[in-house]
Amino acid sequence: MPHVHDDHDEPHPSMKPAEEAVRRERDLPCSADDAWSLLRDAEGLERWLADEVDLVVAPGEEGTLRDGDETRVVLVESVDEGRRLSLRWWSGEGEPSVVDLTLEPVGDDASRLVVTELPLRIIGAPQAVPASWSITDGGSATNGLQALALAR
Amino acid sequence: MSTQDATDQAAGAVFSALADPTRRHLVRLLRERPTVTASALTDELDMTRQAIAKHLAGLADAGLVHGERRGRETHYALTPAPMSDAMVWMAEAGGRWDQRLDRLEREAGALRGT
Repeated sequence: MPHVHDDHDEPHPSMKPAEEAVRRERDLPCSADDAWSLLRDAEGLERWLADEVDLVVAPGEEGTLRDGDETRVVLVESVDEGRRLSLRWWSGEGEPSVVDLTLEPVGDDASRLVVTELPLRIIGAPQAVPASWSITDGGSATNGLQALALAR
Repeated sequence: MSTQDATDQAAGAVFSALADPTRRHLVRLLRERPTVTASALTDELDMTRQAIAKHLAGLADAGLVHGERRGRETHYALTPAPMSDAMVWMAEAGGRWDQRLDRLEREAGALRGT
């Protein structure tokens, strides 16, 4: 059963305990090292996170994810090699948010991915998205990344 | 069933219903309109009436909308105690992560076999 409203064992450094966090844990049938290959670059992320990933997975890099007819602007906040990837993203509508993906080993051939997602405004970034901003407008991806960067 | 179990079951139904992008879109439409009918949305969504009706019924099963029969049409509206914006965000984001993690688990299984 999925659960939310959870306290985090190791929350994102900028996350405050909040009711509005989404948290998921998923046990994976491979080692943490192997699982990291699905997080460490665009090719790996494209196998599960989105249909198209245009992103260099390195701190400070900016790019886009396309999933179906939705495109997200994304900013890599931090990378802890083999263990954690932190992103900020926004789809052009709704809430821009911060995403933490943390891998932990569970024995030799199994691992667990812990996902947390939290709206940026919860961590004190109400200016993150101008009200008039639309990702479908011309040049909006750049504007979106600037807006995400403002919240850093 | 305990109260917590019942709450978890209800939450699971909501997440499951909102894992589908068409149903998320329908919820957004219903937040802007008092009611919708499957027939009225066929052109807008470029889907058959039957497909839309099935999605609306799924949302009704999860308790997100309720339908009222008027003549030959069922008019659907958000439930009288609609979810807060925060709840909608959590349900949508949670449903998307469930889908992504299903794909990740499959890919992780494939890695082990290589």
